[in-house]
Amino acid sequence: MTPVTAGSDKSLRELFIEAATEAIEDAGVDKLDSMYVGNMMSGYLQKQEHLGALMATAIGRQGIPTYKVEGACASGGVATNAGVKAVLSGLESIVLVGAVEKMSGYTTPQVTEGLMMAEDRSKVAATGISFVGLNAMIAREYMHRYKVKSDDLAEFPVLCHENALANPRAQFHKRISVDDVLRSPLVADPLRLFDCSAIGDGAAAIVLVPLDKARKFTDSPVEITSSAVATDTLSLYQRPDITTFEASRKAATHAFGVAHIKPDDVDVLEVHDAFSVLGIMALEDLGFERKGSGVQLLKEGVCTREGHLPTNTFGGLKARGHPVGASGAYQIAELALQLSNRADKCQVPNAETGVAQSIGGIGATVAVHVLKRVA
Amino acid sequence: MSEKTFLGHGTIATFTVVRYPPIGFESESPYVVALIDIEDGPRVIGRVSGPLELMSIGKSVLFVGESRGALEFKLRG
Repeated sequence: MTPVTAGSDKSLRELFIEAATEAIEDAGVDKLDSMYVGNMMSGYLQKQEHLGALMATAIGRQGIPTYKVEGACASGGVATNAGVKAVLSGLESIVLVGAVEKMSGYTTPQVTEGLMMAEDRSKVAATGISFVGLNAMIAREYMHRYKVKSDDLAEFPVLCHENALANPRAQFHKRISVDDVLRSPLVADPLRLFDCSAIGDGAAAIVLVPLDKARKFTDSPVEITSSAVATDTLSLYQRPDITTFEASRKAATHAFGVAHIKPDDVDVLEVHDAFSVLGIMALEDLGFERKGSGVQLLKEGVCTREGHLPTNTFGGLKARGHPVGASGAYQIAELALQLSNRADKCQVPNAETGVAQSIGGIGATVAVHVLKRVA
Repeated sequence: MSEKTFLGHGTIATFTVVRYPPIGFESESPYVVALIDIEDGPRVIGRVSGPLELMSIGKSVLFVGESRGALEFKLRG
């Protein structure tokens, strides 16, 4: 994983090379059978596509089959799913999954327009709505229906910033309070600046091998026990209930089912908190709390690293950062560190089972992964 | 919708005020975009004109037309 930063000179290619090289060295593999590159906006911002071939060349592995995988802000999670399926198919044994995004160095209206590629261009983007605006509509309805206030939602970014203090690669190392969130400027009412993840650059990569070969490479293998992707209608206006993401529920039900786990079995949770309200909704949609009551978990303090449901332990999308197409891969890499006891100051003691949720667009694509420490 | 469609009345299901617009909309902000439940009809997304301070969930809106591919409404009353 590269540190998440904004404003550095590192190119898309350089970010990817950094993360991929680190992953390959950490895994101790020589050959790669294939590579899956997750990214959302390279075509729009960098005017560069064909990232599969580009990144293979960049790391000196041209020749192997490579694929760019795009699922909006879930690209990292979806690329991981593609890599898992490749290994499970038996066709590829040593697979690199790397996801990268470079968002800084462009104007805010440009990035705002780019993020709207995750929603419907003809009917929805035409209104001038921004991606923050779409999530703000969800937040407003959520608060109205469940009698939740902005200060309640603000607990989520506060938790994330607290956790990021211990993560040297996090974008932000700054403690914030609920007051700080409420005083930050409105971006799209009712969401404020600190309710929203920031623009950032970064890349994260993991190496996947069949489980029975893992011990050749490491003494502390981490198993991706299940990997599920589900979709919903592309657009928010097409949904009867906008306070829940059906795709989250579907992907979680599938992933938990295959892994034979229940919410109670989860020791560490990485959710897609691109916006404060999404972090709260994730707790509900993934089965940890009833719909509308997600904030209770934050108020009870159970989501801290010392609690019984450590959440976004490296800072999450808000504080570790959200280079959009890469975030899903950061989550997997972070869980892998947790479950192999290498999370350093972010370590959750005795973490055995981890779950990651990666959301694309307005919950139109959701990837859920369950990882387990292998004894 | 490729032709002008008469949608009539609707109710604001939820809305936001866009303050950081995408390219092409900079001169218009802040503006309101809402999910609107059309009376006896579907849910749609559209712009709503009217005083910001009067916008709220449940308010009545009237369809006024299509502009640049987007549905436009105005606050009623």
